[in-house]
Amino acid sequence: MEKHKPIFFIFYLLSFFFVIIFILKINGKFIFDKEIKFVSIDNFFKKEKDTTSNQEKTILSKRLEVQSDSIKLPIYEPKSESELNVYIDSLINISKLDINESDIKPSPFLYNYQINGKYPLDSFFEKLSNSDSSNKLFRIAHYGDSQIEGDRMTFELRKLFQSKFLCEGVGYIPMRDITDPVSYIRKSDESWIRYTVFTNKIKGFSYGQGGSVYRYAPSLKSSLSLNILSSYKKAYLYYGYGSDSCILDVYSSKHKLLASHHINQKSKFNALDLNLSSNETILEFVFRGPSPSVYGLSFDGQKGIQFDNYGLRGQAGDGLMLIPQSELIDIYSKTNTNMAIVQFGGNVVQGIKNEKSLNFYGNMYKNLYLHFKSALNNGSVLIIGINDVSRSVNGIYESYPNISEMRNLQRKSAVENGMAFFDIYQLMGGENSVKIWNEKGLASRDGHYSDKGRAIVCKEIYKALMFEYKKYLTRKKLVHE
Amino acid sequence: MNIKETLQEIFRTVFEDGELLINEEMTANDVSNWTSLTHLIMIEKVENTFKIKLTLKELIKLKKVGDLLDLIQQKI
Repeated sequence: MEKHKPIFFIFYLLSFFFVIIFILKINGKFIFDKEIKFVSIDNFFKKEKDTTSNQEKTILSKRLEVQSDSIKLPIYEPKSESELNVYIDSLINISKLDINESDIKPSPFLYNYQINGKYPLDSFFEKLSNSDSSNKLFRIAHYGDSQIEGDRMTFELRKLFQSKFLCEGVGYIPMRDITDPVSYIRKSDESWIRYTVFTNKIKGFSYGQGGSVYRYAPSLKSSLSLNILSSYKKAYLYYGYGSDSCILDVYSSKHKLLASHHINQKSKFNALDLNLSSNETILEFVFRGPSPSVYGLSFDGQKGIQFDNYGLRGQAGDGLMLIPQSELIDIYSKTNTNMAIVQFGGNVVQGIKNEKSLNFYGNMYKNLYLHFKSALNNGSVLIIGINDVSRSVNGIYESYPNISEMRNLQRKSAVENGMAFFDIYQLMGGENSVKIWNEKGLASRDGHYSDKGRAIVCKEIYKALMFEYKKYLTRKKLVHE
Repeated sequence: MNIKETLQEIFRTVFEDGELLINEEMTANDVSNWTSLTHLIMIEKVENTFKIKLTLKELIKLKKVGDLLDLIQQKI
């Protein structure tokens, strides 16, 4: 019996604790006013139950899964409200000044990381460095959502580059749009119907380079009036299938016939030189006969650089993948488009409800970016990432959760696949920055920039690109020496 | 209602086309308003209606309506 004493002791001790626990569980969980938490018998033998919500899981994944495997990318910590105020005030002050050579400094927001011995923006810079000696105009296609619609942002970038490289023109003009443009005045006949790769799709027709095609059928006549507001040397009509009986007449403001053309080509994309005198800025375009598929017009300089605006309100960008690669390659070649700027993301934040939807969009953006990269062959692609977007939570405006994760996925896809990335979210100040941008009159609460806000963002993009351009010129010089 | 009819009802509601008739070969190219944004709403409705869960891998593989019909059939 003596030798079993320790066993009995342990048995009595365990029984005592078991009784105590049992009584406490029945009588409540409180002892000396302290809450005691017990592990349930079920949970004691089970693996720890994961009670984290999907939304929380997504937030937890923030700094874990979206880091690039091959390239080290910065991790940002959120700024306090006072830090954001100081930072954004400094951005406003800088934007009031003219851009001098001394302002062209390295930008922490632009990623132009070398991959396989090549920098993503080198192709763009090569064209830029030859723009003076070359007699050809080269184009940049700027795709985006409502942040750029109506030539917003594109107009600012165009203005900065055209004043530096001495070129002109407003670039691409759609036949009609859901918003008024900022850089020209357009009055479209009501008969024009807009079909896009997102909504109001049309079977058997192409959508051109911008994902939109315009027709006035069943009507047999339509018109469009424009005030270009700026000078240009060349004017083009972009269209698809025409017919022998379709004619375009172009009139001046005094109703003088300036040009008349048959719109009769049968290929999917045609760039018709309108042979207009460049001193007429108020123009009327009258189409007669069965409607061709019109993609739009373009007013450009003879050489240099042109930015074309393809703004698609309310879209995530994926519809542009419905433009077949072969068509984009053909159009880019015919229009001498050598670079794409892709700026989407603001519309997906509402749809990101869990990790699955976050990664769904991450995968979608990777495919979209590669779609343009493949079509441009050796051209450059610049991804402008998602900006801060807020929504009301119990009456208080806060950033949507998961914007930084979306930015991280966009950034990862861009840098790992040889594309440049501009981090507009971090430029704004990161999480909850849009609230301060809104208070300072730089953006609406939903993240759309005001004229002032847009000017700040575009100047920063321009300066960042110009610094990389300087680096490119230095590298080029070293190679030739 | 069978799977196809139920899916058709979901499509009509999500893509806002009361007369939409789905078929196995149909893709996003054939349906106005079928974008990534509406696609995820449609998938959520499919999951709730058929009481199934689709993985990201399965979502990425979907190319046409026929693929979705097959997947639902396998899962229920």
